[in-house]
Amino acid sequence: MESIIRFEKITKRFSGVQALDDVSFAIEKAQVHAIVGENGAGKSTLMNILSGLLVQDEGQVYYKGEARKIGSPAVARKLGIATVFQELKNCDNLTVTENIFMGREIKSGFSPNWRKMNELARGILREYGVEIDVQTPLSGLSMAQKQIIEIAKAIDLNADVLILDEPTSALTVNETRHLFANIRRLKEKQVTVIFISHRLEEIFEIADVVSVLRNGKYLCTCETGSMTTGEVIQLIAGKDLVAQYAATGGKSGRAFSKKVLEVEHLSRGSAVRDVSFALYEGEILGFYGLQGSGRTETMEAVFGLAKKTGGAIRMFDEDVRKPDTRASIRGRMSMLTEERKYNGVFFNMDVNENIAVVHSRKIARGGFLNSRRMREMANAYVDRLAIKCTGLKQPIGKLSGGNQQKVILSRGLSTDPSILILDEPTRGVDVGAKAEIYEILRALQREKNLSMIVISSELPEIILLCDRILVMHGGRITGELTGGDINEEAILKCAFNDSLPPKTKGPSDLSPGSR
Amino acid sequence: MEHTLNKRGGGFFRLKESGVIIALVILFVFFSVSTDTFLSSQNLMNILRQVSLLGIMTMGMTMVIVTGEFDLSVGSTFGMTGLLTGTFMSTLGYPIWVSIVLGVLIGIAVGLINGILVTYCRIPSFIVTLGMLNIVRGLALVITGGLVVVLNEKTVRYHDGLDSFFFTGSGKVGAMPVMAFFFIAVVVAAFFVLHKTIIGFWMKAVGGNSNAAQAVGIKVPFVKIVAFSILGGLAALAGIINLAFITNAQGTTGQGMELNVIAATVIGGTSISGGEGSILGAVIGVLITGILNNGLILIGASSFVQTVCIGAVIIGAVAIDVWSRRRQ
Repeated sequence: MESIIRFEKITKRFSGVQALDDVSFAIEKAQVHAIVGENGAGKSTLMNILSGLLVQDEGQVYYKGEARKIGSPAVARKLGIATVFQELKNCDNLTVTENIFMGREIKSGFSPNWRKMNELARGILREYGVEIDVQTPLSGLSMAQKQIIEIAKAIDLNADVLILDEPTSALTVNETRHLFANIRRLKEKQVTVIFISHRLEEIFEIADVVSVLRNGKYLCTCETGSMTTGEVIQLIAGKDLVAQYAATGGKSGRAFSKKVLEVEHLSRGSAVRDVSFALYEGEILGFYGLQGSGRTETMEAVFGLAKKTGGAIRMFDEDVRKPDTRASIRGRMSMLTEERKYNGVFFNMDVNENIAVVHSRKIARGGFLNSRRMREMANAYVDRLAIKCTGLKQPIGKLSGGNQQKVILSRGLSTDPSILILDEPTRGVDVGAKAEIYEILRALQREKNLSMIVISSELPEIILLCDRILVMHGGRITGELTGGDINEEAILKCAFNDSLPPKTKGPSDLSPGSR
Repeated sequence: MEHTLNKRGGGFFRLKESGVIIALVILFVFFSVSTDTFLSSQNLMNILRQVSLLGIMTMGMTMVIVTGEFDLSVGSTFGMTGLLTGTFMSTLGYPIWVSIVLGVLIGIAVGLINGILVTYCRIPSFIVTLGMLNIVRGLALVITGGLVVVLNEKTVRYHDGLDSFFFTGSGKVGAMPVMAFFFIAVVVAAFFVLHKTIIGFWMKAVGGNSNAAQAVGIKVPFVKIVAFSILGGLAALAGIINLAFITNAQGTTGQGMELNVIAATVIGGTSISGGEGSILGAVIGVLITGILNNGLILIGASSFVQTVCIGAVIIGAVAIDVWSRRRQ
């Protein structure tokens, strides 16, 4: 039988970075085909080519046996390729019906026939087991409900291929189960589902086959039945990381005794519930958890980016009543935030200013800026962290993701912190820069005895870096792992809070507000 | 990556303001050639006087817009502070300098209230200042009962310094109007505040990415309130100089002026989305509006045509800005 999609020698470069390198493989009809790889492995680029957002530099996409140049989302849609993006592209202010029928409204005469569209929308959603009033605006719905609506809409457009890009990253476990039930149903209807996820458990549960990409290169496609999670991880991570991984090399292996940060019974609304932990001097403490587990929210409350609703924080044996960012930085704590674009980088500024912005006393005397001091300080870090830029005056937006991250790291380090919180320190950073950042963090631990908290969604990363790992689920700490106890399975067990809920055959628990 | 350095031209063309400077030069040359009167020193001093008050306020507006906010209430503040200062001097019989200080403080207070409502109450600045535009003007009318305040030796009780007060409005030192000295002083001060001090740096940071600014420990509300207060104070200063110039005040003074101030700011290359803007650009924006208004009168264009031209320049200036940024 002819494969529904076949990639042949697909190559794509972005200003010198090889995003895809000679990728060839096929996707079979009516299968759930997972694509895995680290961040920057090329999954998104490949899917963007398939959904028409990007055009390959070289190579050919064969769709239903014919060579096709997709080139635009409209063409992809016409061909029957629908994509549900990680960041959902729907209008929160419009109702469910309006979202489903946007751009293809049913009219009677000149006016839209909302009654008919509402009826159809209800029918579509019923099929997916979702009980939502189709006339409510999307803003009142949960992520999961919005996602199902996107999927329903895509399928209603008679899609033969459905691309799901990290569909579960914002979902709870129950919602994920529900999504999987719907994916199985689609498969029965002969729809091909391409599933991109970082969560191997999910891939092994839902996918028939899995293709692995690494550094823009295609490695292999295997049936999920014939592989173990460990084998797939080895493929994803590559030999270098695996070697380190196995030896847990570079880890300090020291015993820690002096507490620098103590958090007791911290809470923040429903996002963080009764979290207590301590950070020791010179330790790298990992925080793992699935999306929405409360890791970031906890650290935001500790650092003072958000208000805590309860609990106590002690830093260097001193109580911190009301943490705020300014006081935290003065108290020698730094935090690299998760979303570089949202609250990390100043895109209106150059490299120099992006580093200096955290200081007031060091760079200004009597309120006046000392631009020489600013330059000296920035220069030191550009050299030390090997930041690739044309100069301190280069606008930061022109740097690669990895170098932007190094600039932000420089900013965090330039305040000479004793405690450094890193939230997803290597997100959107290519593999080479990743290794460099790990090395920098290691060196900081070794040479400066810096205490660090690393939040990461990438298991290899957290296992590689951390002396101790705390796992969160549903706003609580559900596990603590040290030394030899640290392994994939143990971490994931805690992250899913030990017991996965029973598999639901049909969708049942997705009522409004179930989040 | 290295090749990008070579592609960017050096010197003048690397300046963010090079586009507006070229526009200014073109306008200047055009009016110099097409009229006999434009290039006379008397006319140039005239232009300087005409733009001084607008210019003083534009410096403050640039700071507010750099922090990512917006202020529609400056025209009202300008009018009310002039009116109240005049009332203090005449009806209430306060000494002149006390009246002036009170007037400036009231302007700062309006800015402070704007800033607090925008930051702590989280009301968009467009709404806050639109409301304040009406409140401030309404209050001025309520306080004076809609009457015109006239300043002369009979109405002002402590009229000893009245002549020197009027001198700040209409006097000249050599050929230079005194008003222009105020403008130049404000430009120099604003340049230092925005480009050379930590608070100016913070304004840029807050306007560029307020979430990141909070994360690096900058007090975002404080910075925005400072910017609003500076603008309020400068609007009051301009309003009081205007009072000295026309020697009377009424409730309608300065109506619509906020739009001219915003226009000059935007023509000067200040990005309405915040984070980008310079005092040099703002000065050029002010000069462009001034030269355009003056030159069009000299070539005999009607005031209706002037309005059309100013509008076109606003859109053109921003279009050039957007276009040049996309090319980068």
